[in-house]
Amino acid sequence: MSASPVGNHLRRLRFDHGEMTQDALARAAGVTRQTVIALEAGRYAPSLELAFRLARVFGKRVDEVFFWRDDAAD
Amino acid sequence: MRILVVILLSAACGVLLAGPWIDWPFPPGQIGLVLMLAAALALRRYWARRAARRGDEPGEPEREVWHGLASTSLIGAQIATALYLAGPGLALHSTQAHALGATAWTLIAGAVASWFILHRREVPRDERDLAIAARAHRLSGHVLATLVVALALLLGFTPPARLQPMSHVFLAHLLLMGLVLASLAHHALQLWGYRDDAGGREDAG
Repeated sequence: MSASPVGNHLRRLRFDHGEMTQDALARAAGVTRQTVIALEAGRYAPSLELAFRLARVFGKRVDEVFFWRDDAAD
Repeated sequence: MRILVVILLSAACGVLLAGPWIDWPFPPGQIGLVLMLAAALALRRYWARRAARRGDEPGEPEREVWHGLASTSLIGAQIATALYLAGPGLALHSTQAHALGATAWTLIAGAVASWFILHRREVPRDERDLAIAARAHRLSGHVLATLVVALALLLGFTPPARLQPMSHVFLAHLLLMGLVLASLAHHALQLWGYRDDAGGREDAG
């Protein structure tokens, strides 16, 4: 699967939030741990709903968690 | 590669359970059921060990697909072999048909029981799993359509003299085999999707 044009700061945010585990984030967002792994590796772009749920876990706005990669084609 | 190995190994078990080459001490269906339960227990231990050591074990939805692939392959091969050995004149109330039915249904019970062994009551399926399943569903739909067209052509162009010996039970099972093959393709394509999603690493699963 090619890299997603949508990047994220999930890994950093997890560590900033008391070194939250992937499993804890997955449970909080209602997804599998494998999906968190795919998101952090940049292999999967979440739906808008999941992006909001993930942002809410960290108390951030969506654009503070996700960003468009500069090297991605428009 | 791993997907193919699981399909072939499970199919080989199905063929051996249906064939007359081994004189099983118990009914073949029961042997298959015990085999499925033992495989599920071993797999659960293996995945638990991987989770503890490497943290790259498959998630709940992917586990279900692996289980579906192995079960479908085993049961499909058992039915196909029994059908081949019985021949096109397979009668509904015959020893062969009864043996086929008893073995197949016992194996289906084994598939259900082994699913409960592997099931972990976690997040059932999230949007990524649904996306992978949807892609596989679309492609396996094409596989099913191709098989139905192939079967229709076969039935349409086979000389009547060769069609007449085919019993309705045999033809019904041929249709079922089409569904089994499409289901097998569905499971394999889903696992291919998971493998692709994991960066194409060979040990996905």
